[in-house]
Amino acid sequence: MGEWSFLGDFLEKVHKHSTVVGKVWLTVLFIFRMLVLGTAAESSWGDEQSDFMCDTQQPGCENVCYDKAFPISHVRFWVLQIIFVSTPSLVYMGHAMHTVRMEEKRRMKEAEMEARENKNGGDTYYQQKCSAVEKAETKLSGWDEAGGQIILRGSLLNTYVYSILIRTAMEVAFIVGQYVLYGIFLETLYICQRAPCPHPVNCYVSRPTEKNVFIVFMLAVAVLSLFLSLAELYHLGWKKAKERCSRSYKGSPGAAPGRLESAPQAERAQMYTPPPDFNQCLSSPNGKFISPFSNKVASQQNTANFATERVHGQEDAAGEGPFVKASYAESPEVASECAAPAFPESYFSEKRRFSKASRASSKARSDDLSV
Amino acid sequence: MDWGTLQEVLGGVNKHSTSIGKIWLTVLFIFRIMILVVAAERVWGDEQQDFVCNTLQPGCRNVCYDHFFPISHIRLWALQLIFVSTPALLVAMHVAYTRHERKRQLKNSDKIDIEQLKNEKIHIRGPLWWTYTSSIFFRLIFEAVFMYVFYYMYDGYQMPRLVKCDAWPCPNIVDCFVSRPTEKTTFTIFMLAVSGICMVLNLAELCYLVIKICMKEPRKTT
Repeated sequence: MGEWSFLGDFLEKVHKHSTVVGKVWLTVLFIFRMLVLGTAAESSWGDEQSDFMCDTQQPGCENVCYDKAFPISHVRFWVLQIIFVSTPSLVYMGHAMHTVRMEEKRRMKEAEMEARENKNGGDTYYQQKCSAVEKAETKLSGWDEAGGQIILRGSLLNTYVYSILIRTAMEVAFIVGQYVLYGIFLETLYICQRAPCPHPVNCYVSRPTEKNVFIVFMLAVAVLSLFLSLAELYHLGWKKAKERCSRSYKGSPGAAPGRLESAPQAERAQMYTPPPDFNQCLSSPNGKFISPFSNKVASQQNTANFATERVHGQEDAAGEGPFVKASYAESPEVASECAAPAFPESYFSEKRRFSKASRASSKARSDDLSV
Repeated sequence: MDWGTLQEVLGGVNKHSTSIGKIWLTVLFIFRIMILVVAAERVWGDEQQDFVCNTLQPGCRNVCYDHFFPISHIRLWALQLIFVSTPALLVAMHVAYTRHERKRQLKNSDKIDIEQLKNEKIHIRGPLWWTYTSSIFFRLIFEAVFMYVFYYMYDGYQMPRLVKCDAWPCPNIVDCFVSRPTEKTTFTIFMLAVSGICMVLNLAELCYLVIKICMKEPRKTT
């Protein structure tokens, strides 16, 4: 098992940041695949060539017949299978670590800004907004300070889902590959006809029954891992669908003023929009943005996407890409965390006028990011 | 072969690498060193015992094996991995030297904060940039050289099933049969592919560093 420590160390980190099903999958990988392979299967296949006997005295015939019977040994095949099946998790881990680093950088920036704010003391309104923005980012980027855990949201969730999909594909590919190469069971007798063997020669495989036991075992564990991966996909997909349903249910009541009153939190989220984006919404004379709240999700999506694109253009210029997405997706939480400071009343009332537009865009973003 | 020591040393370098450097290190450990230790060493384990020649002449098998396999694939890969990892040690030494200098400066100014010094992130700038870039350059050179050596020594990347040998003391041209040629070819191609991937990663890192420094220069001058 010491030889597997290189991979084992990396996967330990993945273990910390996986879902429950993911942790079960990793445990199955460690115990039923790596450990069994390293301790039992290796010694069972240890003498596979030295005890591969052919009924001939022709020099070289045993070599070529062994090579024909076993183009790649089962053990090496399983080693490659384990490595390729683990690789997508490493990619996800890389992304997660990148997220953590970005989070740390953001926090450092926030600390710097607060220090600057204390030094300057002027324009507190903007400073408050910025710090609230930073807090929103912190909450919504997917990093939970208290638990030290990564929360699956947005692009990180997508990476996780893709990694599971690729893992499933690899698993299926290797199971099919094993079937194509060897079938399911090993036969005791292998009849070989290959130069320099002078005629078809009987060759006898070493320990076929013991090997069959391990082959069936490893196949069963592979199928179990496949099942766990599919279960994890289903679990994530179900959660996402549930959240989408609950969001569209919340979005259905139509009266605009009612919406304004019932969701002041959403509006407060809008208050954290940096001025350029807000002005962008303000300046758009397009009637589409002020479409009434219909239940036609498609048309809402269209207007929302249009708004999103325009906002994105501004965002990229401002260099605050991730923020807007995140805040719109989780507006209630943002509001609860960042208690709104005393905003001037006029600002709030202005916001009311254009809240429809921003809400339309928020709908699209929440769909993008919901789990 | 104990690769744990190498892992410890390179783990330290990992902290000061770029993201691409970290990916390269992961690929190195999982797809090369681990495959070498767990799989390839066993495939090549019986390469001389099961190298069979169609002759009863004593000594003929030995000389034929030696003639066709001057240095085993496994040893060549181990050398390749060591040479390719070594430039990273240059970076580690430079970082250690920088830290040492920083510590000396702080001591002189009576502001000692060892913890801060330990955790201080050293950015890849100035002389460290040159060390880092030249280490990547040397890595690329070593990879290319070893890939060529493999190609030259074994006439391509495929392991032949049958080799014809007429080295002395073999009395005539003797058929010799290599053990597990298909499996060996599979792993040779696998290691070659991963070497290629590592070279691509190194090139990408080199480009990234050059672009980064070029972008910083105009900003400095404006």
